[in-house]
Amino acid sequence: MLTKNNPKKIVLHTVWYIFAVLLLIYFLLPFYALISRACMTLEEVSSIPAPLYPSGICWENFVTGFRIEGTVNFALALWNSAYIMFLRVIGTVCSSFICAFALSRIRFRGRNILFSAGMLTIMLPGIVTMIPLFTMYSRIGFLNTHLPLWVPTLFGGGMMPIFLEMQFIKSIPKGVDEAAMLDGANYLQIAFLIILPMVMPVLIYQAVNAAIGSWNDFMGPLTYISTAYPEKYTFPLAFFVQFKNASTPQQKQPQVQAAMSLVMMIPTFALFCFFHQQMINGVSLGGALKG
Amino acid sequence: MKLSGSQKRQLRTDLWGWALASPLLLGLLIFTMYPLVTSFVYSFFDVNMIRPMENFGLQNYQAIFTGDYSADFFHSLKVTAVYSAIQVPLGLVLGYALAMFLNAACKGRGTFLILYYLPTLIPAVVSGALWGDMMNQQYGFFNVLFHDVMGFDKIEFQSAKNLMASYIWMTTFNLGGGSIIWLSGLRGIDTVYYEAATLDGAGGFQKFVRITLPMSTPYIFYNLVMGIIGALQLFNQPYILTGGTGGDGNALKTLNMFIYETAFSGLRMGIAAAMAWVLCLLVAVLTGLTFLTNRWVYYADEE
Repeated sequence: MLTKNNPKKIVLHTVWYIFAVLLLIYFLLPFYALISRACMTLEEVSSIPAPLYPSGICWENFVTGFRIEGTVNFALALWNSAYIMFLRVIGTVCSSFICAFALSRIRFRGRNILFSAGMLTIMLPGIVTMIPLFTMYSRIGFLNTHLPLWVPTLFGGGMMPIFLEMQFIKSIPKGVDEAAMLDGANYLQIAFLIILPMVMPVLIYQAVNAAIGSWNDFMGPLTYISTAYPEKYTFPLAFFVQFKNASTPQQKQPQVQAAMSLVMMIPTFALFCFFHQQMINGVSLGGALKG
Repeated sequence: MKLSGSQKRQLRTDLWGWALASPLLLGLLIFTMYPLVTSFVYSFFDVNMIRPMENFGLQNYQAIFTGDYSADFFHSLKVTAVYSAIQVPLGLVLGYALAMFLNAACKGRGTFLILYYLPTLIPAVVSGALWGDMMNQQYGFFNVLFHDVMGFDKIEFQSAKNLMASYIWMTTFNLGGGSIIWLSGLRGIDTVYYEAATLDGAGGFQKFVRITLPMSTPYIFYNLVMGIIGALQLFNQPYILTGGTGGDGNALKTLNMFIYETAFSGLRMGIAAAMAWVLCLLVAVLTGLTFLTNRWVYYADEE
């Protein structure tokens, strides 16, 4: 039997910790590269050889980013991203909850067909529907506006959130609904007054997920907002347009790119700080459900 | 016609159900079914934004398989196939190994898990740009470290020959994301099995092969299916890493990128729709095959 101070165990633990720290250094390398780059001055970046670490913190990079001359306006892009994110979170959470409730609690005819049809769309490559959606948006005047980015979330908010919420709702005993029914409550009241408070944790997870997904969305804005409308850019699109075509450090300003990267990452990491437990549980739940 | 009480009740239930589920129904009709059918129709016509659909026929499929677009199409198909064939198994094996490592009974493993998860939170737009920065020939982190500090030869990370390998290496920073799913699987294995095996005199390796591996096959299966679906549709990171071009020698122009370029830069939407349907079929066939050959997956609760 292994005792607490068994030498073999101590050696094993030490090896484990050394390995864990080495892995940690590896996984945090991107952060080091990003943060150190954001702290460098243009002289440091363009000197040969370039330094591995900055000599100080160059706060100016953040200011420069927001004051770039030309078509891209990062402050405006930040605002655009923020309000689109707000609308998408509301749309996704509300519509996915109401659909998940109907599919898991109301025994209406045809619900299985609707559910299966929805599940099939999960593996559908987005590019297949994107081309006709583009022409459709063009006809109804949605192109070069923010509407294609958030209006679709009002329609169910995607099948993955609905599926996850359904699993949660199914774990609540049906007797709760039936008792409320006898007391004269209708389905809408049951959904919002009884079920909603009980599935709050999963809704918070969906809201955080939707927020991050919206904030980082790139393909949508890239497709539906043309370069003729720079005032409509979201932050990721503005970032891409600003930094894509440049080869020398003077043109590219990699230190400003890194500073703007950090700005883009603030909301995601703030949400992760507050909700990391829910997010990690949610990710493992998504896997466990398939198991 | 007179309805009995129970029929009336069922009708009311139907009405309520369809009313509350109507966002999903409308969403599927407007944003999935209609575009799906339309893109199938598009694939048989010449389509662009200026003129309406014209010239019904198989010319788009002919163009991508034998005509003008075939060279680029097969190149992108190869890029996607090579990426998927390497990245999916590599991600599975390394992610699983990482989860096994984190499953050790050592204090602080939860903190390590959270810290390893952090790189997956970097948005694709940032990581695409960041990896381009880290692999830069002149000032990039890796070349400064390897060449200027350690004295090795400079590595052309972004040359046509190396770009794919560099990119696949970069994806290893995201291993922590999959590990969370693996870990919840490993922790779900009943310790009774291990205790029984210890009593029967099984060693660590035997326990791994006979218990841990079979019990985690549902998770391997899930990650495999999701990995295939994701890898075949790769777009964001390579697009940003290469500034939308596909990189030196188009070494990282995935099928999804080529379809996108054909549709929205070239405005040859009929050809793009045809290619999108080929991609769709590819995803369906590969996931279908994975499901058909899933006899190696062990479901404990089915017995």
